[in-house]
Amino acid sequence: MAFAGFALFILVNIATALAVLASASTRTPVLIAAVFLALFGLVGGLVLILLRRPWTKGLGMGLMIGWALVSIVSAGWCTGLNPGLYA
Amino acid sequence: MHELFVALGVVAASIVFVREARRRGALNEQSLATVTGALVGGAIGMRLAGVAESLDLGELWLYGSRSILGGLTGAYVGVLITKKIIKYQGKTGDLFAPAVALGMAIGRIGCHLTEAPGRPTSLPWGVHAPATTPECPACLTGEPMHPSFIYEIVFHLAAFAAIVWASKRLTQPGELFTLYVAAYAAFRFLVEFTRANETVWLDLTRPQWFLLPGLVLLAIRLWYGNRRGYYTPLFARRIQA
Repeated sequence: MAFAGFALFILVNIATALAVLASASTRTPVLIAAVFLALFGLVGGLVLILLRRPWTKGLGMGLMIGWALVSIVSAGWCTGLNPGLYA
Repeated sequence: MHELFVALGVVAASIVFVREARRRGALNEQSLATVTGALVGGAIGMRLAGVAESLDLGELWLYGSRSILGGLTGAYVGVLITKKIIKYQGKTGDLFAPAVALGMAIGRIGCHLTEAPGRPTSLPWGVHAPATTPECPACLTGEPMHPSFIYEIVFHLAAFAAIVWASKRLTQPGELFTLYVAAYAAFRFLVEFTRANETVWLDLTRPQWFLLPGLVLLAIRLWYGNRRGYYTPLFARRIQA
């Protein structure tokens, strides 16, 4: 389930990044995307883990790993961090 | 380019971690949880590490530096928090040590290709970098510079080989990681003298000031481990039967 959570985060990430790129080039959409993706990946992942069911724990860890890995390897591009890269 | 090598480093580290966890019979939910804690803590730590340069938290979060030292510290704190949450008492550092060493060796190739290589030098192995390299005065003047990231790559590859060798000898859990962190802290403090980082006080860079208290703590920890005989197996000769 961790792989499913990771894949789910990547999909949501790509959709969010495309939405930000399609919007006006101001800082607000990037900030909204960063907050949304952090909530989805970190808070969503933590909530799933705390539900303590076998499938939700794996999915939750996958979401958190997704946020962390994408933030690390893309210099924050997909996680809405580092808005300079959206320019 | 930088991100490509960071990604390759993460992939290599993941493979080494899984192999090491399998070898030690620790490929389970607890180790996945600690990996999650390490990655999330590392991602947050590497971004917040720029706090010494800017106190604007919003700016810091969005544009903040990608510091290896901040990442490692964040990852360590992330693992500690995770182990508290899942109530896991076992040592996990030895699983991370070889993975981190190899991952860092690969990730640093990206640093060498995109960042200021180091301070100017007259040594024969000095390297040049394009004038477009950011924050690199010596790149503009065409002076040869220390290949400081190459020094670090060599260190991490040697550390990886040493960890593989020592993992068959050390019996005290967690000591491989302690030795690796202590060795990297000492090496990083020294290699900073060849890095292009800005000096802030007494001719020392910010990473060196960050490392100083850590080095004291690590020295005390190594002294304690040595007194308890944790490292004796590393120096014991094998007697042929």
